[in-house]
Amino acid sequence: MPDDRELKRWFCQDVLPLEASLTRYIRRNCSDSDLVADLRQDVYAAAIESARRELPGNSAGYLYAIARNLLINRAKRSKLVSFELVANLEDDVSGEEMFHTERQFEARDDLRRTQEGLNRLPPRCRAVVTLRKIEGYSTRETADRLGVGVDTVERQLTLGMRALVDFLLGGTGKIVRNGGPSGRGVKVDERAKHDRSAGGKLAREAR
Amino acid sequence: MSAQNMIEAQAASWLAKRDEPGWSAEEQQALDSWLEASAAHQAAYWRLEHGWNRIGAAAAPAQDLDWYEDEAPTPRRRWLAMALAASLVAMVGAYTQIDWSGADSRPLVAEQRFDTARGERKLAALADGSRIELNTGSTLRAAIGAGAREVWLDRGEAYFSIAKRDGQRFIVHAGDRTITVLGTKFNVRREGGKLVLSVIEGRVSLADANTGSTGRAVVVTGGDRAVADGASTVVTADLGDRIAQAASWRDGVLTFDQSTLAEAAAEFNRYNEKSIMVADADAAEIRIGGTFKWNNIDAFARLMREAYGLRVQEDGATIKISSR
Repeated sequence: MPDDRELKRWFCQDVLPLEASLTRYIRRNCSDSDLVADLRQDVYAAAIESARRELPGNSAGYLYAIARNLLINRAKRSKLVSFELVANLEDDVSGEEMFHTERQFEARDDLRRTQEGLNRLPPRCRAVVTLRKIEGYSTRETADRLGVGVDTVERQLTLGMRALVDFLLGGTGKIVRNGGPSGRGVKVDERAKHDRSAGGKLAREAR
Repeated sequence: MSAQNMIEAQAASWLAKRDEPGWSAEEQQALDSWLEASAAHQAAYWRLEHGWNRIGAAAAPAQDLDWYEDEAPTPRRRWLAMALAASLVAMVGAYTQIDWSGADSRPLVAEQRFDTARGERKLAALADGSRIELNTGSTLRAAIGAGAREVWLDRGEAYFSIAKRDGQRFIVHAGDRTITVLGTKFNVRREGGKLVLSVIEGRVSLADANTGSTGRAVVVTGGDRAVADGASTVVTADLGDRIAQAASWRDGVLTFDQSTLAEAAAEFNRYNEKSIMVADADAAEIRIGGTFKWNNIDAFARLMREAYGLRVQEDGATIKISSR
């Protein structure tokens, strides 16, 4: 049984590099783009939970299996059961190949990614992150320098942190606010599209 | 706010506090209890901590990068002379010069070649940090050197994510067209003599290779699509979010928006050994819309039967669709 240090090391070194693949996989099979980040966290939590007993040998395969089961159960439980979706998930045996580490991360990749991520932040957020994290000022000192309250600094820092980490691990770097959209995605809603197209009338009658 | 959203916000809050001076043993205990309470807490916190540490390390290359061992990094205060993110740009510049100007003293640059079979997709990661995804049935050659960056899309389709490199251009040759970019994301599709260029982000310049420097180049920006055929080039501007549909293949799906059944069948056939044949003109003209996984031909055929009342016959390696 792995101890917490080994579990954490496994999670950071073996699982997190798969985040971009995992996110794409979830997005392909979930019609609600706001839920993608939440589902990803669910997958991570389940992965850690099961790995407590024993660390898996093939992390990519392991993560894929967990993600797939989670999505299948979710699809089956949902009120609007999409037969296409469930069938696709169950039939999809090629999905695992797409779970790969996005290149070995090297120092210069992180540097470039961090710079790019910072550029995407709103100005005030970027200023807070730069002073607090890059320069190393305390919250109090940052607040004084920017002429804002400590609460504002704390809030901007946590928002910036989440956006930057998201971007570093392969996401879009969008700021997440309360209940707001947590990522970009292509909305897959075949039923709505059928109704709008020429065969829509037939489709409705068939149901 | 969703439960996971709240957990991540809490994790971020913990992480921010831990970096503050005055972090006490009591607070550490409280954090430990919170972590122990659920795997979801651990997932959120470990993920943020991992990323945040890497971000900190990226901004301070002189520091020891072996931060996995650190439970709580000692508070760093102004270990850098840098004042702003602008300094990071200078550092990026320094890195590109050192790492990519190349130990390459050979005059010729080695050419790499990438091929995909029908139904296959491949990722080409180039030495300059650019990433090119090849779609089904494609061939790409790349020559990335110190002085120039050029690739040839000999056939098929590819999605380009080009790294900015000190103002150095990246050139894509596709048939009789040349695409010049600085740093951007775009999709190029060759269909016989026709070229379809969809720019997701950034700016590219599209020119006719035959006319060279005397010809006029067309600038295509994010949200635009250019179709080049023979002597003509037509640009459709401001497609907005719809431009991303050109690259939906990267997610394993095909998007149709008022396409004819004939067009949809041809598209599926690019990816699959099993092919769809539309038997009569009436059926071929039907307009369809929707998003489909490219490898699920059976589901698509089923849909044609159920939603459009078409006749679907399977015959070995062919699916025949016709009007009733």
